[in-house]
Amino acid sequence: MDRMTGYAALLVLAGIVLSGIFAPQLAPMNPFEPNMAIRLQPPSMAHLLGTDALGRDLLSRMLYGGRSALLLSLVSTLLALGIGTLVGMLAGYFGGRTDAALTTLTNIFQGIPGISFMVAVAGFVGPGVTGLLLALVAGSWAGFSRIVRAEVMQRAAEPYVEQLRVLGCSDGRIILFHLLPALGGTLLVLGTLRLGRGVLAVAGLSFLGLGVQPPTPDWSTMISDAMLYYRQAPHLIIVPGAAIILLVSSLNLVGQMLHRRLDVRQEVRG
Amino acid sequence: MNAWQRYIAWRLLGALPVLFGISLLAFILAQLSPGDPAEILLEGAGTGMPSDAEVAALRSYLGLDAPPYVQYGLWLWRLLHGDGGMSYHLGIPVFTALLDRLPVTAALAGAALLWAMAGGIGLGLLMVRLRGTAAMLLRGMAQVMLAVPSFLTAILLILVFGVWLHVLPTNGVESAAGYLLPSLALALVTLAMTAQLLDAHLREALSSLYAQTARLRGLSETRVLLSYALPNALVPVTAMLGNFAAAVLGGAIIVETVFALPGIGSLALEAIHYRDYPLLQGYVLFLGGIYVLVTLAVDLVLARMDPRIALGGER
Repeated sequence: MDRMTGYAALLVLAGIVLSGIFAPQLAPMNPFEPNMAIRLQPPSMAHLLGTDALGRDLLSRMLYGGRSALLLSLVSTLLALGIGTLVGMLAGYFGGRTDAALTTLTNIFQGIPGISFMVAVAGFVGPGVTGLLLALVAGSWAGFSRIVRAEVMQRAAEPYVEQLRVLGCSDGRIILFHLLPALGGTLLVLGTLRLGRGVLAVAGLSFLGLGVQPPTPDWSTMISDAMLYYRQAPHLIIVPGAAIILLVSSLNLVGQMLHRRLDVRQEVRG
Repeated sequence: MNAWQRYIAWRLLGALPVLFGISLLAFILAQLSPGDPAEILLEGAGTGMPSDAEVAALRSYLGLDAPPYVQYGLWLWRLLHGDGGMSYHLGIPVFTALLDRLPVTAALAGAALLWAMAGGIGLGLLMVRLRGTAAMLLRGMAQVMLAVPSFLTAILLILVFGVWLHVLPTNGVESAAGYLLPSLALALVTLAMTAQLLDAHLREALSSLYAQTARLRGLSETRVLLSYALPNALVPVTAMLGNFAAAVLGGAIIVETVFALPGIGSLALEAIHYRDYPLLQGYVLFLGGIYVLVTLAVDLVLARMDPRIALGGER
């Protein structure tokens, strides 16, 4: 059962990613071209998912609409994973004062909770991609660092690390060539689970007007635009909403599948 | 000092550098913002195109021409005296503005915590107690709930209960019922996470030796679940709900926007709109302070529930 769900999620995820990559080839119409004569139409043969408030084809906008959230989530996750791994490994390996200082640093970044911190960072820097990326990285690297630290502490206490030291390995060599590869599974699981949360964070910030800017088609800005018309055209909210839920839950399920399969010792939550 | 007192002292001391760091972070964030505060203030005051001399005069009056570390020191000193500066667009002290708006967000947060607690524990117990398809459906439902952004939950709740069923108010907080839907939207993800966490820990506890022993002594399965497995599983659940309680005031920002509630989250968005950086800075400090203090309180409760935490020092 679990295995089937995992594979199904992988399939859905592949479908969403591929349709995003090949959106220019797949889209039946231009997603930017308004046509006020056909606003707010329900699904029909000409427009399989109907049209939005400016008469733009919803299907075409849907195909393009997942790109920005996925890409931003991916880039920010990789950046945050890089910073978090570096800080976590240094803290976990060297311990003592280094650990105390770096742990305080992660506590500071985790001390301003979740979405409000990201909103504030994006608000100070100003709306747009730079502010959004900075907000996402600032809001997520500390979580990675905490888990990497715990994992490195466990592994650094194992006999093989002691033996490597006896053989004359430098700290840098042990960290880079022996501990980092052992973290591969943990980082992959953490990254995958974070991708889902990243998509949710991008969606939330874009919904507040602090992320992806119009006219770029984006699922969450499509929902916030459609809020004015929710009585006449609820499908303008339900279709992009369903897409976000599918994307995030498939990312979560794939992350959970990887968690079961790979050697991950820490309790990791999606 | 016994282990318990040492634990409290150690946690209190640990919170100080974090609070200091949060103030530094809030200060640095404001430095990152584009635009000069003096210009923003003058434009807000109606001086359409302030001259360089006017801007320079205000800059020196506000102390903005001092080096950053002097500015930070002065700012921190005032902060320690409860002065977070004046809001640009409201013209009142930042912390007064935040406290004015706090009751709405606090009520929303309290209601959300109730939803997460009652709903999460109830759903978790059901997942363990039910068998077969019903349990599978509940677990699937929790999995989906994790993937719904809170603005979408909020809009869907308005659509279902307000527009299609006409049973609940969808905006305004004139009555307590006005808080029902916003707080549910705010709590939904944590509700699902709590249920999943409880489910996992209960299943582990039910297959443990002490649960076996209780069964062998002839206790009913319900009794084993409620008086043997549940108390143990409640420690991680309390940790999760405690973290939610500390963070929920900040998380309310999106739900406040959808339901048009006048809380501190919508105040922060106003601050962004008017480039009112002192207000936004105050928002960050306020939430950071609350988060650190509530987390501290929760950790002390957890150490009371499970004395091994205090004895082991750092978790």
